Amino acid sequence: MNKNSSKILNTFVKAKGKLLPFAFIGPHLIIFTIFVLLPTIFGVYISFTQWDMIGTPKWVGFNNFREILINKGSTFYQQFWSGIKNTLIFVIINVPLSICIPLLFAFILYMCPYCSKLFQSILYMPTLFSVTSVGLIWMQLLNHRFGLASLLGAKVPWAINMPHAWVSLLIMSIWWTMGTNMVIYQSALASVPRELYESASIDGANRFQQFIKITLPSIKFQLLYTTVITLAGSFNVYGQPTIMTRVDPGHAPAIKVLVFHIRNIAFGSGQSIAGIASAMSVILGLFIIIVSILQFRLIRNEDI
Amino acid sequence: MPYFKKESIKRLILFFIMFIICSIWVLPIVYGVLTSFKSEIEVKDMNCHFIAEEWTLENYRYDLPNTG
Repeated sequence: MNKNSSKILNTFVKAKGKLLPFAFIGPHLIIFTIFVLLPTIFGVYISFTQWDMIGTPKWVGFNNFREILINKGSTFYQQFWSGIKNTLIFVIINVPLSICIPLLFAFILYMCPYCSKLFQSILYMPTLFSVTSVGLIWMQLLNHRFGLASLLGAKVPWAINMPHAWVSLLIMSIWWTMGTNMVIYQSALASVPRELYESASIDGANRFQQFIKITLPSIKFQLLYTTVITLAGSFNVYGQPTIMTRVDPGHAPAIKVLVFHIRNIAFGSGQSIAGIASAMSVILGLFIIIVSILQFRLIRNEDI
Repeated sequence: MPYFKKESIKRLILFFIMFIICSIWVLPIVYGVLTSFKSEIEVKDMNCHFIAEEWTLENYRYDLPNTG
């Protein structure tokens, strides 16, 4: 073999070594690029345009954002701010409850009551249903005319009247989504060494102190993960209020969250205003990113 | 009180707490399943019943039309 061909072979081997990792992540990278990255970039581009989803998008700069955030006379301004208000109410109440309740149940199950596996399965079961089934079941259950709530003497239209609709929406959301977080906490709790509790108990620490000083720090990363995921899910809430708080298919839901407005503006009846809808989506996305970054920083600072 | 007895009492109390919670938790699912065996008229009847008065497979026949 001459010097030149061995040089070429060496270069080929080196290049192969560098490209090999890409071959492993290639399939995921392709799917991610086609279904996540490109639509995101296109969505951000559309937010700076005026587009009806048929013709060519027309560049309008920050006009859509101005319309949503500043122009008080605009319908989109009203829709955006009422939508964000409703979404924030949902997030502020739903996220802490969706963290604390599963944590409590996981902790009770961790203490091994009899039939703990059966209880775990029952608590996880609602997560397996689709949002449509869950919405319909609860709508039926809370119907003030022919639902189970009327059996109990509560003739209140739980699903459509304010503020009752909020209560029913939150109960349903927690009932539906709690299982996932609970399972994550259960596995996290199982990884905490039991010896830590034993030594703490010898040192005189009570259950509450053990929970605060041992359990919580040990499952900190799982808590962060579930908080971020629950937060993003709660900001994107759409299915539950749309199905559950609707009187009938012809009516709008009682609780109109931001994603409901985004969907209506882009795909509702009449001409599509995709630019405005995309701008609202971009603002919502930025909001979620900022809050998630803040949470990560908070945890990192605590580590130091 | 011996340790194992204390432990089993604790587990029993937790069992009862979880039993009550899970009974409530599973209620919407049971209600949904039982409602699927009610007729359209009975579902919208003002005198709500937890269990169907007349059991029917009408809804399943509607959803799965080719099953005879």
